[in-house]
Amino acid sequence: MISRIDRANRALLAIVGLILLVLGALVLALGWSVFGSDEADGPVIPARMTTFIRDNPWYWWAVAAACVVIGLLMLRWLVGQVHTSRLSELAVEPDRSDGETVLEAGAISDAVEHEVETMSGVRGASMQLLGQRSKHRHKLTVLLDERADINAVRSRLSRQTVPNLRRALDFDDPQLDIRLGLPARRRRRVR
Amino acid sequence: MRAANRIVATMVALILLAACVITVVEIVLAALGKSPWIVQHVAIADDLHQRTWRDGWVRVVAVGALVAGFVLLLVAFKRSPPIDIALQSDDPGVVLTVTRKSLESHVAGLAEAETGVDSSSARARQGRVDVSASTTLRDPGDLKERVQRSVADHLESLRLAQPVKTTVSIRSRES
Repeated sequence: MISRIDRANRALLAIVGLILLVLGALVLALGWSVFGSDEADGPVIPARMTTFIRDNPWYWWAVAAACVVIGLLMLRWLVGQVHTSRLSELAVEPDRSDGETVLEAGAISDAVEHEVETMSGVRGASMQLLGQRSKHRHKLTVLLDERADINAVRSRLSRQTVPNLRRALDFDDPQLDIRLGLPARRRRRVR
Repeated sequence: MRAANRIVATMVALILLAACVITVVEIVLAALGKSPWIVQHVAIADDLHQRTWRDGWVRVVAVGALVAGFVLLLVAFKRSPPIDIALQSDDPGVVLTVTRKSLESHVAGLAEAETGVDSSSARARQGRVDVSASTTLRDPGDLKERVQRSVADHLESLRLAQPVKTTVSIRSRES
């Protein structure tokens, strides 16, 4: 599963990379007379460009405005690298017309983690609530130990933990992502 | 690769942000008739009036842009191995996965549990698991088939969401 920021990174790196690639190729093509010898022997900043900039004082302000927009986008991109969608509380009732009841995320996580950790073969568990208060997703990581019967743990998670969570939240469809960490099997040595 | 992707993305964002801030400050300073802050733009513009597209430095900068662009595209399109591998889930509201690293180490451990295997490693990708084991046995015999059967049976019992192909390679080495 690829996170949103990883997808955004890929897209933006591809855009910046493509722009650099095209610009570099264009400059080399100009220097190699692909667009004619006159262009290749012309100055990098031609006189007509200087005249245009001098005659249009708005030019630099347009450049400054573009830089402000790009700079803000870069700032957003940087913030996205460290931002997490972890929730500290969530709305229990989907209909908030008569008020709102919120539940501490830690209370739910602690209860679920405690329940899962008591299962045979489970070494540890941690749960995070991600997304928005009204539309959230639960991410449960379960580390198994060497004694674990993986399918038995899976079965208990789906028969016990998921229904309990649904009842606790009074929600029919909480989206739950369960990540299992398998144990490294004990290595047997026969010499 | 995800870490590299994030590091490169952060560096690119910082460089572009710095370039934008410097450009805006220089434009404002020039409009106010003040001397430049960092970029001696008048000297640079004069220099670029003299240089042609054939100039060595212009080509060096172009090659630099070309290489940087290629590297960024490579980082953007390089496929990373999945962090998690999906398992079958009986509940539509539950997405069940196993971490790839733990699956690899688990499978390597399974291979090492077979008599005759000295050490092993495993790589899991979407749709396949490659196991590489080494043995000190002079004649490995049916070791490859035993490891293959053990790993394949175990993966089947895990009920992965997509069927995986297991490949095993055995390397003999002298003790």
